[in-house]
Amino acid sequence: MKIYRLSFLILAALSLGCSKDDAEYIENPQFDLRVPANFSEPPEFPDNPLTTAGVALGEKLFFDSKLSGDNNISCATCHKPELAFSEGSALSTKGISGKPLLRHVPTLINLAWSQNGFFWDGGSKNLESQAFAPLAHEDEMFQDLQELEEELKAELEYIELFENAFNSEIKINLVMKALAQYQRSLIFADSKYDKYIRNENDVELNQQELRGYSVYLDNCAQCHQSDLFTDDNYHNNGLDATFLNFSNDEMFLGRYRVTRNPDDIGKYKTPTLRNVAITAPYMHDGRFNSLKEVLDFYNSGVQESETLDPLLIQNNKIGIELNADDQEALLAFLNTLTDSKYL
Amino acid sequence: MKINYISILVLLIISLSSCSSDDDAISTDLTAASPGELAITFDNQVGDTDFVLNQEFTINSQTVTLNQLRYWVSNVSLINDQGEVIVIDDSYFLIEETDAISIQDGAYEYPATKRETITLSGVPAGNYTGISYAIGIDSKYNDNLSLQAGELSQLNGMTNISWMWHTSYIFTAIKGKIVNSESVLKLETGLNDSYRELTLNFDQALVVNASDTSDLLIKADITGMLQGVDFTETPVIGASTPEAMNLMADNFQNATFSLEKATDENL
Ligand code: HEC
Ligand code: HEC
Repeated sequence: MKIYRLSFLILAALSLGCSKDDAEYIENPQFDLRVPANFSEPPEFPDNPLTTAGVALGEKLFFDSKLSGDNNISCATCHKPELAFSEGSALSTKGISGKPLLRHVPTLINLAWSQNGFFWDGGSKNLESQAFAPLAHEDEMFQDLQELEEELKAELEYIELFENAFNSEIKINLVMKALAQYQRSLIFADSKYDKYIRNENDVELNQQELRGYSVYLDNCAQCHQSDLFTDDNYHNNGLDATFLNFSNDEMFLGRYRVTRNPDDIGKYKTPTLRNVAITAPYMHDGRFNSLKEVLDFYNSGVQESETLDPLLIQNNKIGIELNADDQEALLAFLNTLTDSKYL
Repeated sequence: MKINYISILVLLIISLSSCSSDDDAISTDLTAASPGELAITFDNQVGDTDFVLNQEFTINSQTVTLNQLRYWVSNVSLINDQGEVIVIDDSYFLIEETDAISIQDGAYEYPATKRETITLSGVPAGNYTGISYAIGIDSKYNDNLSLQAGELSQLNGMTNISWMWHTSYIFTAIKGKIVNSESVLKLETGLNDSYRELTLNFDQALVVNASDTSDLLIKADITGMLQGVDFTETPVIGASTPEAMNLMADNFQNATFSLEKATDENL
């Protein structure tokens, strides 16, 4: 059987030709991600390759409060650079309605490597689609998308920036692409740990930190996998024993809301441990205020349920038991994971 | 001979593919042979009665009124009497009959709209024996709202963007109420699992040529869309009612569309 494809854009395509694309490519060079030596190559994004102009535009948009309905809230209101792009409260009330959001604001760290869904439950497939959610949500930025196009078009600078980045007039989907590019450019890989691992400038971890590193390797690394310090996967780490709150489209059931697989009840995406020393509070609902509380939880607070990750049952005991010295050492190690590049 | 020429061209273009896509090259060639126009009308009906917004209808033994009926028709292709398939690129069409809709929880309003007909121009002249299309949006576009094709838009209320935890398209939306109980009906499908393809064959070949617009009249039966749906049990269908959503998706595939007329005469 023969298959033909019929495009209605023939004339447009012919008249634009392809030379213009080539020219654009030269004017708008690829953005150099400078992949750290201890990281793998990030996946490619053929539909939205990183360019210098795209990243620059995305950065401007990320910090621009015009992106909200009342022109008071930007992405950075909830994703603050000085907190590794997290927000600092358990459940943010920084959105337009002032109502507490239903989940804790996560960091935005090394997202170019994140391939298995965004949000704590993976409800969004990629950064390009994800950005629509905070923009449109009534408790977040509540922006009329059509109006946003008009607002941006009223600014000469944006007209030029979109032209440079996408060779196009301003369109809402390009706003998403630029935001995605900027977020993928945020690489955190210059902590004390990284320098030690890469043998840079003779940086060493001290005895305490090295002991903590080995405690980490023995107890945490399967999920908080180095060197991204996340396995980009979903686990139930035992925060709750029961999952009986079905409100809000069953969002309190974790990953199950997305997959409808009962094995996924109570599972959430493993957050990275990078910069964790400065990103309290912790967990998908921000329930713990300090790393000490987190370690106490892993030590003695882990709740049993059908989907509890088997890694959290050791020698028939639930949780990760660590003595006080090991806990101290682990905390010291976690403190070596802070990269202050954007802070 | 011509076919050979086309496929050589395709290979050539694919191998050089830095420039324009293979699609353009082939269609350029095809449209050179005096193409015609094809108008496809989706005639929404309840059983055998024409559908009217906000009018009482009995469906599944309940009296209901609907103020919104919207669905994406996508990935259209035509089959000709040579057994060839003509794929209509970028074919994403929103078929709808709806009252004004408040979008993003009231941020703005989408105007009342009735749209049943899509017109394909540049269709290669030929004798066509069938049409295939899908209801919903294929995963490539459903998974990435920033990709643009056809009528896909984030601005018309057929996305789940204002619903915080899924960012993808709504495939079909039927909204209204049960008259007796005043209970609201909000019956939606979406998510990649609800994407369905179907084919309708014509009894007689439909001629498309440059001389006149040819017409396809497809009946879309709302009782079919809702077959087996229990309005009392599931007045709201969506991601958290996967079985009901699956039933509706199957209905769109198997119980909804039938060919009323395929003609090159004026309708
Ligand atoms: C009012 C606060 C708020 C604003 C404003 C906000 N976000 Fe968020 N963001 C959140 C919350 C809360 C989550 C977690 C939601 C969830 O997981 O269900 C989140 C999650 C994310 C994630 C997912 C990260 C991951 O690893 O899964 C990304 C990416 C993101 N936001 C980007 C943005 C962008 C881009 C903007 C601006 C267009 C923005 N956010 C504006 C609160 C906010
Ligand atoms: C079975 C996999 C698994 C193991 C083993 C594990 N974690 Fe976690 N960790 C998770 C998941 C999943 C979350 C997010 C849970 C949630 O919010 O519902 C998490 C959250 C955290 C957080 C909160 C981070 C933030 O930004 O909110 C910290 C800190 C943490 N873990 C530290 C550790 C340490 C230290 C160890 C070893 C003692 C450890 N984890 C072992 C899976 C694991």
